[in-house]
Amino acid sequence: MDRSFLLQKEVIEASRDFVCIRLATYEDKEEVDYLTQVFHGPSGALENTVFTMLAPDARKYLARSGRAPQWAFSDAADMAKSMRRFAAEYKPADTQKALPAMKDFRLSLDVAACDNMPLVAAVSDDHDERVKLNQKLAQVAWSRELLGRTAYARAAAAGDTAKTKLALQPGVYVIEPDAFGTGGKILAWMDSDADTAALTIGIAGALARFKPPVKEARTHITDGVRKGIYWKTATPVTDPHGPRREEPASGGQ
Amino acid sequence: MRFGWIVGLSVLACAAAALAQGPGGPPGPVEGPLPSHQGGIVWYGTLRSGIAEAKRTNRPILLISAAPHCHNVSGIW
Repeated sequence: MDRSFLLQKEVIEASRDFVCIRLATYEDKEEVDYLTQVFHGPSGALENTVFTMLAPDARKYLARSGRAPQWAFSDAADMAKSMRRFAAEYKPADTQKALPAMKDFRLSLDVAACDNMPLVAAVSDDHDERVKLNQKLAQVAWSRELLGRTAYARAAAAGDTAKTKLALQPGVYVIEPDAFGTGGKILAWMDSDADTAALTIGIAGALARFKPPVKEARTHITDGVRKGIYWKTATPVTDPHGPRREEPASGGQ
Repeated sequence: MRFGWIVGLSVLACAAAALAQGPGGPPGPVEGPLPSHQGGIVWYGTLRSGIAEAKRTNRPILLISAAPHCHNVSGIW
């Protein structure tokens, strides 16, 4: 994915007046069906990337749909200007309060690795406690101190984390993902009872220790194939331009 | 030898996908994190949670989707 526009300061600032949704293509059947309606190639199949902008009702299109912002805007400044204009048409009813997270721990770890960001993840085997942890982490995620500086996972049961190379006990973690997002290093652990102030301090401290790897696409893919890394998608990859690779006999993640 | 071809074709395919996205060009070095003083865009990772929040807060939606792997190798957009 070409993220060049999305990393520009003016686009990031304009994004604060939007709800920004970034899905992992081919990881949810319902989302695949939705995305295919938003944009598909000549074959009718969903391709690897999709981009659009929508009104708050998620029905009215505000920008031309395509595979990337470059299909709709000439440059980042043009994109940011349009975003400011679109946002001015709607009066916000409230601040954002939901936890910005992927659907599960395994996918969150992979996406954090893609973004070269630390992952904040809470673990509890108690459903009610997971609900409370999600609420606390949402407050942290939208705090001025940590806004957009880490990725978040929805609070998970310990067993869900065992689907990766990490098998975590209850608590709140800041994780430095490994290069392939299949495991990682624990940068910080906090008790589940920690309040939002303590969580903010703990996460900020871990951020100072975070050392993101430098990745280059060809080297990363070569290393991944040699090491038997194979990402299993939840739904079939349908992009006719996308590379195909058979699952190794040893199985994938 | 065959392995080199596979990786080469894979990178070319990813490059073609990137070119299809617009004038951004093929993937070179993966973009690093933002400077520590500046946070990036805050992303909801599921359609349901994002749309619900957009309706609740009456904010427009920036929607992106991408596969978090290349050649089924994870850890790279």
